[in-house]
Amino acid sequence: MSAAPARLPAILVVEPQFVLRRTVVALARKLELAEVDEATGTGTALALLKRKAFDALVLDLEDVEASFGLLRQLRDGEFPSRRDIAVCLTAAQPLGLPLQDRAAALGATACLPKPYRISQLLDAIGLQAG
Amino acid sequence: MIPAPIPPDDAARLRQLRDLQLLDTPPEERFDRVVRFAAEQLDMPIALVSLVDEKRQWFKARFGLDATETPRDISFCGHAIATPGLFVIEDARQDPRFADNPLVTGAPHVRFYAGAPLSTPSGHRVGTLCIIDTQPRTLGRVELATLDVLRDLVNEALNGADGEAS
Repeated sequence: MSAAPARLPAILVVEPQFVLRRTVVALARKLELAEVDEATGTGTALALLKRKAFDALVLDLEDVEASFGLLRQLRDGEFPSRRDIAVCLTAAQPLGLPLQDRAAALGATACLPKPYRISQLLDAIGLQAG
Repeated sequence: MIPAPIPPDDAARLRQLRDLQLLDTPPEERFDRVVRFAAEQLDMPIALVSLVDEKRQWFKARFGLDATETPRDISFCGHAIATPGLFVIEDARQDPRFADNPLVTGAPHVRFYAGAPLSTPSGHRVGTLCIIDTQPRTLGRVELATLDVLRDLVNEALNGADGEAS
């Protein structure tokens, strides 16, 4: 009797930049680190979060209020995902103190200003890329 | 120096390359964004989309290099298209195929090269996405995989399959 194969973590990547998003997604799949869904913005992300449980979320802050709103809903347990999953926020600029405080209050695991290395991102959501 | 080899399918390969209608065309963001990203992610001073023509390699996208083309026989990319996998030279000065190559002994002083061959749908390798450093380098698993997935993006752009402008 053989053991069932371990389930890969399910990750949602919300990132508007095409090359960055596609590279993160393709890399995670190629290295068999995660099952990855992708969204270009919070609208699509919301729909995905409502219908599927994820183990980690990468959330760009292009639309700050919509992104923090999504994170609030996640932490309030409004989605099938566990409310305490790892969430890595990404942003085009380093976050100022007020936004850092909001991110911390909502339990963001990490905040990465762009440009960041994809290996940093994978580390931030607990994926060991080797 | 060992000149870049001429693959047995070169005539058909060149026909496919010319059918792409990319040679000597202006820069395009769909390629430029990938070379910028490759240089940034892999911490390389130079990244290129190189198309290997009959007598030259011509750069459809360039980051960190002023030259628009070089002779094919001295090109690293001419070697890279000989096989489908990644072609990596960690230190060109230590490699007899490249140690006295003018691109190594003179500008741009290539020491490290990694090229991922670009293919047409029929499988002809028409060029590369390549990264270059002036220092010897070794790429890790994530970096090699990054180059590989970026090559896939360029292949999509090359073959008209990329549908996003952002």
